[in-house]
Amino acid sequence: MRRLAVAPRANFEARARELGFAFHTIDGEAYWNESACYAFTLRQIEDDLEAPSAELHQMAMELVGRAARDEALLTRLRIPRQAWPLVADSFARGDASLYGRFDLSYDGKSPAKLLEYNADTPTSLYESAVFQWVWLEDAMKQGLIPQGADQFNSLHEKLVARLGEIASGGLFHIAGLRDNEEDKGFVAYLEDCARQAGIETSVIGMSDIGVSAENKFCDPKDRWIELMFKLYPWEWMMADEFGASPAMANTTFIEPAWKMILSNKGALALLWQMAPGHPNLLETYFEDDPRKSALGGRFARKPLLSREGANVMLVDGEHVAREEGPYGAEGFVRQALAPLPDFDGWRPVVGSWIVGDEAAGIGLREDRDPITSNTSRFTPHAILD
Amino acid sequence: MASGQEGKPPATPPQGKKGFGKAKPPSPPPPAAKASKRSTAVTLLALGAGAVTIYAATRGSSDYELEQNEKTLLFTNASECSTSGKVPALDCDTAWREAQKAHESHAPRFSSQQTCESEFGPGRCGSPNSFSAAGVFIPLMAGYALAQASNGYRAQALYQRLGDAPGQYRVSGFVQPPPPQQQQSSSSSSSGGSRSWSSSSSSSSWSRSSGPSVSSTGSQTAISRGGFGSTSSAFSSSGSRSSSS
Repeated sequence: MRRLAVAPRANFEARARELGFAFHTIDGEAYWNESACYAFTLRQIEDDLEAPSAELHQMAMELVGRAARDEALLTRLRIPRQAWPLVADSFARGDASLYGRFDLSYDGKSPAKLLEYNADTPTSLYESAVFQWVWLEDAMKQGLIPQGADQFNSLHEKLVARLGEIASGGLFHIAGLRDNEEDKGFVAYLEDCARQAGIETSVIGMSDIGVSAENKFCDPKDRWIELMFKLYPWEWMMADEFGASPAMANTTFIEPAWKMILSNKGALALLWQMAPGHPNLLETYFEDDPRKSALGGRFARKPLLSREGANVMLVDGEHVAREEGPYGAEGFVRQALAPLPDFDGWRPVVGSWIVGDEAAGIGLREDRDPITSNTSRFTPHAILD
Repeated sequence: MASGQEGKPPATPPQGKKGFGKAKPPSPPPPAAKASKRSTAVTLLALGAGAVTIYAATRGSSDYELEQNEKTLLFTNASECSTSGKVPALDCDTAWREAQKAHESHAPRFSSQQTCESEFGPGRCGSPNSFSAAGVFIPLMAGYALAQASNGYRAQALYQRLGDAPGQYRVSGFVQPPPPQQQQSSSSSSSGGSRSWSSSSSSSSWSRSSGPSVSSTGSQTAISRGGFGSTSSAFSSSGSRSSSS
């Protein structure tokens, strides 16, 4: 694994326009960075990232099987009581998952370590699946990287195929927040994928959703929302007024309610309890577990529910790094420290995608800061053997 | 919102709603390890400036015929293709059959002739030939497109919506959805072989403007709205922060 300086493509701007990549610059800062790329060997990809991701996914599914009906565990995860039947029923029915993203700390040598699992509303999907992929083709064509390079990235194919499996046969609603450029880009890409799978779609805003007298959620045209992808976290849905509506039982959600178990940092402690010493897991405990002292003075403290690095605190002896934010009311876990590797002052985190039950590719975001946040730069990768 | 309430039998495709939003039994493993770790092609129908498909360069080859646009030929039927002199007649026929096959499986589907015609025009819709599904309607092909590839031609069905300018065509998706009448099981659909492309088209969506949904039980009357979304504001004063991670 190396970080290579690469010349940006001559046609970057045109490509971004042509492919609808509107959020490559966020608040004046470059979010998409192609002045460098991360180079892996095929062995690193297959043995250190692809296979472990598939295994982590299997372990996560085993955990869901154990926790979906276990009130003690659901309580431990601070999942509200009103959500318990949704979690248990969605799992018992086999409600399908579309995707998820493991965030891994990996330096090319030691086993990749699971930092967290973005199981509910992971983004950076379009830039991983499309823009990164096109970068590789262009960069080879323009001689910026060697011809014959490859990329661990079958995301686009797998997404279209998975959507075809789970969302054919009806009107598929895709809901998100209306006022966020990145979220809008994500939703547009997901709709594009669904249409490529031959699915009839309707994009709506979360706040446009209504409920009928028959206890069914309906869209602005008063059509029943039978199956809905929501780019909106489950815990927010549970806190919203409609989260307690009986209509919750009459819509199938993607991601399904059982993902509440996995999108919770408490799952990291439960996974460690299930498979202590697993090479891809970090030792993790709930903050109120006395065993946390085993971690000594080097640990990361993470809220059970948090996004984009908010409220994460890294403690390394006397050195403390902290990202502020609005989360943490529901408690914390303490996780052994796995500092991100340092490549020329840049610290990449590897986002490893699961689509359905398969490992489908990676996307890296890098930051100078030890805590990856939502302003970290997406930097493409290549397999160069 | 009148239609859909007349108590008609559910106009679902024959496959039924069983699979809608449900996990499937695990697919069998892909037939053979792919030589490449990445998607064979990436298509965007509407996201950017227009439909575009880019092909992966074949590993170790110098075949970089990525953008299809400059080599794409559009014809209304096979005879127009063969009389054009641009494509051998045999290839015109083969590609026509290929386009028809793609049309049968990839055309946008509607639950009534009326809904379909409201988007594609009177007399421009029919039932698929490949299965006798009650209540499934698809637009007629307006023509087909051929793209020259290193090993022959690739073909795709073209459509014209109501109001489209002459010469403006649209394409539908490329990945095989589950066959309507078969048990959905052995879809090792993600592996190679789904090479595809699309011709240029305008950027509006197939279904955004569509009326009643495929689901006949779909029509409801909202008695309350706005019960979702309020928690997001507690985490985002400006509204600019993403809800996602």
